[in-house]
Amino acid sequence: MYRRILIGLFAIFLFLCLGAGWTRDWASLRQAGGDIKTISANFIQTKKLEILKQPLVAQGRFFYQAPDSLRWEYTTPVRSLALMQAGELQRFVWSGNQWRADANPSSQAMQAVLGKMQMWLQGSFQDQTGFTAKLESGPPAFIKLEAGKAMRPYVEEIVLRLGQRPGVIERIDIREYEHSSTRIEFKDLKLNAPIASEVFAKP
Amino acid sequence: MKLVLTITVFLMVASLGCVGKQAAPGPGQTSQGCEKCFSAEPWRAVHRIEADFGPAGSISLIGVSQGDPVSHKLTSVLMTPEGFVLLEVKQSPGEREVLRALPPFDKPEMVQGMLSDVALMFLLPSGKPSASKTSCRWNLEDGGQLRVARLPDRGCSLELRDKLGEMTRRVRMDPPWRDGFARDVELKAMGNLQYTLGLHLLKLERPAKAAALYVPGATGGLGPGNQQAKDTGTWNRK
Repeated sequence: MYRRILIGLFAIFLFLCLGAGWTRDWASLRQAGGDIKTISANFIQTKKLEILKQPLVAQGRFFYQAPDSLRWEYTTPVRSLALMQAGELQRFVWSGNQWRADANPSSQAMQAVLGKMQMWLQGSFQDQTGFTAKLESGPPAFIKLEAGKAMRPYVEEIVLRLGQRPGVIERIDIREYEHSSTRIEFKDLKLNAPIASEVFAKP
Repeated sequence: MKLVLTITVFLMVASLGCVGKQAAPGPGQTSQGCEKCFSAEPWRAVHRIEADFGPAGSISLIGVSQGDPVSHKLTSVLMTPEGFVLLEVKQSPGEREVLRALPPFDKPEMVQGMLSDVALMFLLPSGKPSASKTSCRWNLEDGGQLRVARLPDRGCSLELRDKLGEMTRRVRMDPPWRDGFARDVELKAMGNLQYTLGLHLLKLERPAKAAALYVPGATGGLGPGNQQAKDTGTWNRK
């Protein structure tokens, strides 16, 4: 089941890498995705839990290079890193002033999910296992991914808000369950700018 | 010269008086100060957790916990570093409700173990301890024993033994302290499943005394809308 849940969660990566284009139909999204070679952005993640009065706020960086290199890094409050290179996922946590490999039980599932990114990069939004995708042209335009029965124990809904600029996702809202939701907002986004190969290298 | 002598005698008497005051434990307190190893008031805390399973590897998690030292109610949330919730469970004496449980935390023994560890580290045991010169000892309902000791460096040491006298958990709490919480805590689990948990305090909220404990879906508790809660912000050496 981890595989399925992470398929859903990492749909966000898919869409970013897709460089969801700016149009009113799926075909245009696919076309815009084909123009994306690299993406880099900073993000702020706001995690709301019913148990907490104040949300947990994390910040990080995101890098993608076509066809299959990905770096998703949290810089605060807990430094962690997920690297996807040629279909292989590696996870690390900053501990004792160095990166340490993390044996999180979800790693295998994450690898499986990220492995599907190539298909997603070709703009196959509507072929996602476990979700039903709806495109709303807006403004603001957004894609709503409603979890199917099998996915609902893990994620109920993912909403991607599309920006004015072609290929830009402004915000991702993930509702896991009744007591927990996550918002990821991207900023300083750069499309098709050169990214050093070291960015995707194992630390 | 008389003045100097008078002042000296006064300071000595005053000093003795202070010592006497410090040595006298108040209600619910022990002369060893064991209760200072635990928060005396309801709390909500966020920890970074590093779980080391030896050859099996290590994982990082974020833990959110909320407890009441009087009622012994406890709520715990475990998340991945990315914020994905793996487990949410609340417990009060004789009752437990699992609100979300994903593998590997969907097994009852995992839930039980996690709650037991949280309670061990953060909840003052019920009942009155027997005290030695340097530590306090609680006899537990399951026949085991918990020994708590203040350390010379102002840290705390906890040792949990089962009814056969075998040590099952050892906890070390290191200063500085913040409202009854050590900044760093290490728990070592012995026995069949051996692991080490390292906890680093990221955030501490102190709910108002009058506020009810968190009840999912209820209003006026410790949910997001409760404006009575406050974030405490100072460290001390206790």
